Amino acid sequence: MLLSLHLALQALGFSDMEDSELVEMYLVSRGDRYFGELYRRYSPKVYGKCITMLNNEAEAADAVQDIFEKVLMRIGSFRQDSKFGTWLFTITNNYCIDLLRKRKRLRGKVGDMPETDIEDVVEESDWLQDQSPLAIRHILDNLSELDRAALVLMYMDEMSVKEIAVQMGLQESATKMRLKRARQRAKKIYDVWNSGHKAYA
Amino acid sequence: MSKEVKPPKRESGWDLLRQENEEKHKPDFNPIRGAIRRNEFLGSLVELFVSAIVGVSKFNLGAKESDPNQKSDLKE
Repeated sequence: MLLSLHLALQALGFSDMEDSELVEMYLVSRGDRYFGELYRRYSPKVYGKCITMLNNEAEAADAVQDIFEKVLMRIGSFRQDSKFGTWLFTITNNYCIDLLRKRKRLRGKVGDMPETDIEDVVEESDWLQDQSPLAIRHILDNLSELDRAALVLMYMDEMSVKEIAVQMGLQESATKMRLKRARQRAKKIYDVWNSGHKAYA
Repeated sequence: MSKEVKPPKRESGWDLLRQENEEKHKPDFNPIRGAIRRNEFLGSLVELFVSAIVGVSKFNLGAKESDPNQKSDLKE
């Protein structure tokens, strides 16, 4: 029966199949076409996330391969409680944050700001939300690794503080602090960049 | 009754940056295909090993026939 289902699905083409069906068919048949279709659907998104987080094209390309190999190893334990995409992006975020932590450890703790009041992290006016891609790219290029990760999770993935805390392995209060500092640094970077732009205009 | 149509969400600079980054991707499935083949090979080796063990225990291969007169070492 599985064979006939397999043949029927092949005749239909993979593009009509749900992610969950592709996962199931891959687990049953171990056919690389099913996993290949998942790769085709998600690898650009994973790459996009990695390059934004890691800020390095070569590292992002390697990260995509590593992440899909991890998925391959763990797909047997994927219980489909969540969507495949959600599961994959959790693995992607974990991978990138681990890599950024390793980088930070290698470079040492440089440039940490003193603790400040954290209450207004989320309530501040959202100037960062309304910036152009060019400005955002400039800001991200000049932020530290973990600041960049925190802002990407907040603005690009639209995660809540609670979700970011889980993803980054921090307490909620520490996450708020991280976000507040990241936004302060982002503002400084943006102001310098923007005044340069205005001077040339 | 007319349905209320929601205006499409305005794409923010973050959405546009994400799209720009995704477009840079050059997919290469070959290394993953290689990993799938490696997994398959390892899986079949494990399967072979398990069936060999099951075979040995099921058919009692290589074991001597037990002597019905032999007394057990265990104290009764």
